[in-house]
Amino acid sequence: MTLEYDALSEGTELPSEQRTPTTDQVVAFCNATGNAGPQFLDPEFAKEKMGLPGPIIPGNMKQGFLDQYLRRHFGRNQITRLQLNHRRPDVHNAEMTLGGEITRTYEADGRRMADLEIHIDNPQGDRSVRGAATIAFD
Amino acid sequence: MSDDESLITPAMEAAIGTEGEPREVTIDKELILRLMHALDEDDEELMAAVESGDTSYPIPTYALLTTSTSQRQLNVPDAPERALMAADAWEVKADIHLGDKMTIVPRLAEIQERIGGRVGHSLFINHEWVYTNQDDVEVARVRRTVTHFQARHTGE
Repeated sequence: MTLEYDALSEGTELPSEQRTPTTDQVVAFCNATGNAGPQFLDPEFAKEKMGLPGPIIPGNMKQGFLDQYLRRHFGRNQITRLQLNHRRPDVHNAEMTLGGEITRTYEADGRRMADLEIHIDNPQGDRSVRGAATIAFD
Repeated sequence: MSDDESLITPAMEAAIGTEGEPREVTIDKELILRLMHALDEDDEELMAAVESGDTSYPIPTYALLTTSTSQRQLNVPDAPERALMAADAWEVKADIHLGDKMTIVPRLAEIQERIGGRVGHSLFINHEWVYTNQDDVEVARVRRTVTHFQARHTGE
């Protein structure tokens, strides 16, 4: 269901959503974007060379998931800003929880806007991505 | 190299602010469909618009991810080989459509140094790309911070 501007205020929480990207999805993402770094696909490289727990989810794939998450809640309203800080790696086939909360509603340049804090948590409850977004309402 | 010694070399410093050659790319229907599949897109209206090749329907910002191969990071001299994406920031100013012809201009925006943290002594290198469409409208400004480090990641 699309959230309307008038229903939002500081502290409004978006329903959380779970995503579990599989290795096949990561491969498909890397093929579609031409982003085939070995840390995303090669277990040995990820562990031995990089010191990671295993092949990881590309940061811009998580960006895609958050873009999608925001559109699910704000429909065709425009996402004018999407900022992510990648704090921890997420690995394949592990559940990620996406969430968000309104931090401000306001008008700017004749448009109604909402700022949000957005995040992704890993299965241990650690925040792997912390970010911010702005939605411009039609 | 000791932790006291800066990782920012004169060559690196000289590279800050340089722009790369513009690259042109078209927002391609087949790549967008593949990306939507990878992300398990379930927006039926969007899927129908993309499958029909509707060039008037605004598509998600994530469409810009399909231009990654043309959104190359400028080479940073002397940067440590190990690298992970640390942050991404998209500022979107106009709608994106199938078939849009984008010109992408890369720039090495900034380099910061950090001692400590999960990867030890490291560099945070900020790359920026400006996307302009066929109507000369600036569509998006994308900034990416990549951490370059010498030690292995702690895995956490």
